[in-house]
Amino acid sequence: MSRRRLTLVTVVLVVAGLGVVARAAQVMIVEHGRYERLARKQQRRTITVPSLRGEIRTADGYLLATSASRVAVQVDTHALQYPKLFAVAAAPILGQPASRIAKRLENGPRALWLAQRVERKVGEALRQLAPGAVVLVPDSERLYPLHRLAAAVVGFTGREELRTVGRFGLEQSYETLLAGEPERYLAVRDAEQRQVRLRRLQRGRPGFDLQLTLNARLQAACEAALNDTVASSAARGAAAVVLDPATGDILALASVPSFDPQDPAGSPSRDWRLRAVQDAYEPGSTVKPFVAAAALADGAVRWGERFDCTRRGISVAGHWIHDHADPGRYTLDGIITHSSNAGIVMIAERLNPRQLWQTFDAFGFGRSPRVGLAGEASGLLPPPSRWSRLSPAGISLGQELTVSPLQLAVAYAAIANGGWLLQPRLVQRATGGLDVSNGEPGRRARVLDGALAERLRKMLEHVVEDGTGAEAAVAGYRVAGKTGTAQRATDGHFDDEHHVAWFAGFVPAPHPRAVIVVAVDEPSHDYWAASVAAPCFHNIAEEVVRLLAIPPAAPRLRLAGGGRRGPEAAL
Amino acid sequence: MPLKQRFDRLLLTAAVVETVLGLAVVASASWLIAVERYHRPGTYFLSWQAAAAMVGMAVLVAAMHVRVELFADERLGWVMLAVSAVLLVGALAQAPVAHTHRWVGVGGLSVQPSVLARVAVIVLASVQLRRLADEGWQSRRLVLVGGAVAATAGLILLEPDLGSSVLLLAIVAAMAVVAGIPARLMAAPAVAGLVAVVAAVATSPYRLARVRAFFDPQAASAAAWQTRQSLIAIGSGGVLGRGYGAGLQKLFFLPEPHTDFIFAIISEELGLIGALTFLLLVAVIAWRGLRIARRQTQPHLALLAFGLTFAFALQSLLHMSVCLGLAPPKGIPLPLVSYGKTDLVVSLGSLGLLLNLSREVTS
Repeated sequence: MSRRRLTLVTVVLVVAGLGVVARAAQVMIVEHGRYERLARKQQRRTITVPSLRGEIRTADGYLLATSASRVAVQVDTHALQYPKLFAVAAAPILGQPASRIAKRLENGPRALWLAQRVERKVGEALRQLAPGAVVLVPDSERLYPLHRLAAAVVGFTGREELRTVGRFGLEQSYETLLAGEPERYLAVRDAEQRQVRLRRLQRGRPGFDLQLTLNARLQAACEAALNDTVASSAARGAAAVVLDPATGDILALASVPSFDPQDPAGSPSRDWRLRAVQDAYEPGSTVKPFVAAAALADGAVRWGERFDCTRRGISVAGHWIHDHADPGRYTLDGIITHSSNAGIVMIAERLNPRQLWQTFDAFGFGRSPRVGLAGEASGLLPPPSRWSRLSPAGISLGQELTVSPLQLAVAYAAIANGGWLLQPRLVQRATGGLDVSNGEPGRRARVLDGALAERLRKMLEHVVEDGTGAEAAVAGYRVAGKTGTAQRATDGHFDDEHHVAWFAGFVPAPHPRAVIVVAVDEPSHDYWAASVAAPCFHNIAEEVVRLLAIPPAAPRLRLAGGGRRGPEAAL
Repeated sequence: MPLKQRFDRLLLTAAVVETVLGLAVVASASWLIAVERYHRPGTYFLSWQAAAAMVGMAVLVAAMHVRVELFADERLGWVMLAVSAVLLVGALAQAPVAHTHRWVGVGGLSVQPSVLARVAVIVLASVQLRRLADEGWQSRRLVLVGGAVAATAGLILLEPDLGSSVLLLAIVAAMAVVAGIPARLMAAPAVAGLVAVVAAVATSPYRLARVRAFFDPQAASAAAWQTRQSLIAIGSGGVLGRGYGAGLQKLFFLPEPHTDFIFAIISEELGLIGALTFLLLVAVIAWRGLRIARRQTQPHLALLAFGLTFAFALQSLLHMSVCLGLAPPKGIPLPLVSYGKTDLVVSLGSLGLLLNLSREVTS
């Protein structure tokens, strides 16, 4: 044996040992930070558990949307010892056939969501079956206790994993407030993605509750009235707005046909629309008071001047415009009362186009009302630079512009409240005192002086008393309003097939408490506003005075001879 | 007349300490694997390893009292080698375990014949190398012994277990070097062995992948994954470690935490301190073993002591090198620590032989 060689081999072993020591020191001291980060990255993960979503309530305290605590049931299919037996035992608990559960256990991923949004006791029952393989995770279910009521306003939610996400309506546009802050956990996991330890990183915060300005009972009355009208007139749809002209609070915002927010897929997606806000139609004769306002403000009409409306129409730029009013020589008030097309066109043609446009613009047409919903219709109000020679007539007849029912309600509210254009409001407040208004709250612009507004109110009162709005009258109350029967533009031109029947007005007349706008989209047989929209307005107005506890007006004496002399007689 | 002396107590202490610490590490590393992968109680591997340690201790004590004159007999090595060869062939004939034939069932226990073969070769080589040195490196015997060693390595390679066969060849080569083999005689087997290893690597996709992964750690292969996970375990341990039982890499990030990568678990849970403790124990055993070899009067006993010590030290260093990414991944257990019944019993038995030899000293 060679001792020299033995020493040599010993030296080699020592050098190798020192190499291992050096390498260990390098990895564990010098590169410790880097490997620590790599370890963290693969071993840890943050888990977010969504908090309970906020509630949506009406002003009178009804719950439109709420959330209930539930659990989601996850099964570790590898840890499950007897999947077939488990499926058979779980079948009656879940109310599903055992074969389907067995199939899911067999084909699904390792971490299988067996059930979501189930009651805790259901989850516990499932966990009892296989405590080692079943994990319960906090979950929640979105509930709409009043079902279809205000469905298009509230909207609906969808699911992303265990998160409930607003998909439509207020649920979508107020998502950040309603959702709250999720709870965050740090999970230590193994190579097969199973959690080993949990530590809470961030406390969650439940979502804020929204309180709306809507009055649930009024909303229900509106929806019922619209449903009746849609059924009796075989219309495509209908919308109604009830607005408080003093504050701009929206008391009802109805749209039919509607849907069940618990099951939005059960209705065609066109019924998800909130027609009162998201659709704009030609307003027809409902804009005639604004033409009158422009003419009176401009002094274009002399005191007591009468217009010749005897020819059942008028020729404008080579086109013949029909007049459905009884032939006669009308004052301005008479033109509004009887909704004379010829008369209003004659007045509009006296006005500077810019003047006419500015008046319409001032009332908010062509601008989004910004109540906080997605896809609010701004309507169309073309500027005078794009007008044809026919346009002043088209605008004054409400055919060359489109407005949403809400826009029209805001404009009528300005007449009703003495000339103030209001910022409409749908969401009153969120818990936590957050400012949730979209515009500055209570922002107003004076668009009419008080005397002019009062005169327009009287004109509109006559429409109901003596004119086309007779069907809108409510016994014991002074009702004011205006009909509008518009042809709808289809494929770029008007025809006699598609109409919108409007009625816009307020109640009670001297000091209005509610502005009501009804729009009936494409009524089939009888499309006249006077016989379709006005009765619907009547039904809603009756409920308004009842629900808002508006005292009846003092009875007024009517002169013998079948007709009270209107103000036009005095002018 | 040789004097009877007391056996090397430091060596025995180091061996017992490492075995006991090893049991604790196996408990931590294997618990989850036992429950999750093998659906056994968490103590499954620990119980088997503890039983093997007790058997190993008995073997150690027995080996301490074997008459050393036995190791002068040429036939002992051949018989041991023959038994090993039979078991190796038996393993090849049996159904594969984890796609390999590394274990053979004997009376309900599974035995790893390559570990037995290693001891057999060391015993055989110690006597034969002494005679070769005495006879002046006679070529007939050289070819006979070289052929027997090469055949054994070949059988192990067939299992397939490249790591063990390379280890075996390296041990025999080191023994030959220490025995004083002329350099010219070493050249041919060295070249042949190298060619064999290269061929074994080149013809096997997974070995090629491991070697590739060694030179390119970013490669997206299973081998690169093993080395990376091992380094993450060791690196994240730092100086003090995560604490016993608190390691996270054994949660199925490391493929074989209780055997091939136990040093990574030691480093992760016990830190640099723990890793150096185990290295120190290995160093003490190697130091005492080489000291024993140096003190032998009979060359074949010196070679035997050297071979056993070198095998222990080399295996330990290779295991650590693999875990530290210094060598391509190979299935080499850490002696006395890694889970493995045959390996533990045989390792303790070899240390018993060393202790036996430590009593034979000159006056």
